[in-house]
Amino acid sequence: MIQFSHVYKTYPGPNHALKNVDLKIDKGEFVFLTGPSGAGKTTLFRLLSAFDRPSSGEIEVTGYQMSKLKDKEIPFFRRRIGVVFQDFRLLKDRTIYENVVLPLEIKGEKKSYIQKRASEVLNSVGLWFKKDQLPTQVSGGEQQRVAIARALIHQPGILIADEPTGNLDPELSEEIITLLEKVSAQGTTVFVATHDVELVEKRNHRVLHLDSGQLSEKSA
Amino acid sequence: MNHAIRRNMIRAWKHRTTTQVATMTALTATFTVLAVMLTISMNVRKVITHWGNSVHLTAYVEDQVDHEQQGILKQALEKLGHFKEVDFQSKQEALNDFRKEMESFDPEIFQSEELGNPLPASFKLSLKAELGEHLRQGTLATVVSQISNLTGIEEVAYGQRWIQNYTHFLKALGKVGMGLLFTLLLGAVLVIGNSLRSALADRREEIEILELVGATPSMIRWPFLVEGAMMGLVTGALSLAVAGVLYTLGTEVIRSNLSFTALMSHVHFLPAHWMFLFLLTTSALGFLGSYVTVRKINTGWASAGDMN
Repeated sequence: MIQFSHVYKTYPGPNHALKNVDLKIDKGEFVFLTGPSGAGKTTLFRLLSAFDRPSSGEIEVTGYQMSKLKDKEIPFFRRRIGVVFQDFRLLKDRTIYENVVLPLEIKGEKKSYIQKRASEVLNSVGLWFKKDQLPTQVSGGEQQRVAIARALIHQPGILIADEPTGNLDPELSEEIITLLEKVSAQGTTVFVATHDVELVEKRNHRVLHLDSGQLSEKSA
Repeated sequence: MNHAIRRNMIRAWKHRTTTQVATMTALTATFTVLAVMLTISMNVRKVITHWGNSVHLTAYVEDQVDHEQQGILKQALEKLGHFKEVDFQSKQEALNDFRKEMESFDPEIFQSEELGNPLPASFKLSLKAELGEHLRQGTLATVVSQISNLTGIEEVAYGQRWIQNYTHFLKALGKVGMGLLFTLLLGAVLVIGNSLRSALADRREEIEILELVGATPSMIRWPFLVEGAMMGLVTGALSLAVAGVLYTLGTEVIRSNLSFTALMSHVHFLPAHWMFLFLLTTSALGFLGSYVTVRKINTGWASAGDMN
């Protein structure tokens, strides 16, 4: 599902953000990515979501060879993955429902299908009853659940979450990780970057650790 | 257009009312100047063409040409096909006209038979095609040469200096008009471009989110392009309305204060097909201004720097 082979990412400076990263994550796996700030977690996620190219090496995501991906293919690749950010990235002037259905509207899906999927995902994150509210009218934890619902509505093979609990208190963080585990149990590969070691240690999942651009596997 | 994108566009309009009103005011002002300039330019050309069409060519006939030869010459001139009227003026008629024109100066001298008649007979020729047409195609010299080559024609006079000035004036008018037109069009493109640049900055986050969920560059660009074209169309129509009001007021003032009544019958506001072309142009400018601004929206690798 996700495979990195000898991946390097160097920024001008030179600043080696990633050094010889090898990685393989299978379908349906739940994997944590840990590491201090500036370790290269965001760089790795940028490569995964086609917002950046590796300096060298090969990356394969959901069957797409990233080095061969053309600019015009990128939007279609992004429709195969789901991405969640620390800052939620919701449209503040749009209701929760309108935010969630955006990926399906972009794909040009039928209204009836959009309504059915919206009901499914918003119920699964427990927010159907708040569908007509604006993001600013709900809590941070609820906003992150909306972002997860948006990332899942188009049934992506992979869900990438970059510090999804970074802005939340411990209780809400637990809630979000539990939700992501449910998603993973349904067959979606979930890859979560976090620097919350306590949160990771409580769970029995595969853990990858990045430090100064070098990736290592930690035992759970 | 994708439903979500269209909805975003309508929403963006509602959220940026102040910026939109400022942009539309600036554009309406620019396009009004353009519409007024076009109206003035069109009417100046009309009046000048009207003046130009009143120009006659005069072919002077040699003194020894008799009555029969005059008839042959008239037929030959008509056969050339350039003239809508060929009028013969005899030596005596020329003298009578001359006397009439000069009688206010010193009637006795000019009425005196001792002066004789030094004036030649002539043909007054009025051109079939417009003078401007002859000038554009450079055919006037050919017409003059064809007349001069006829046996019995001494000289052809057609106000060479006047026509030279007329040609220079038309050319200068064209150049000034083109310069002004270019400046105004460029200004309009920049106004629209700047407005949409600010819209892009306002909607940066929204665009990034759309990119994130798989919107293609064209899905993101189209609403901006349609917005630009619509802005061009609406402000173009508004400026035609403003220019129409200015035209009505302006012609009223000229009619009541100046004695150009005869000339004013040649003055009109832009005809329907010009207005259609005008609106087409303002819409195209709106589209172009938007395109210049949004062509760099990139959902590809280039947008990497914006994500953190």
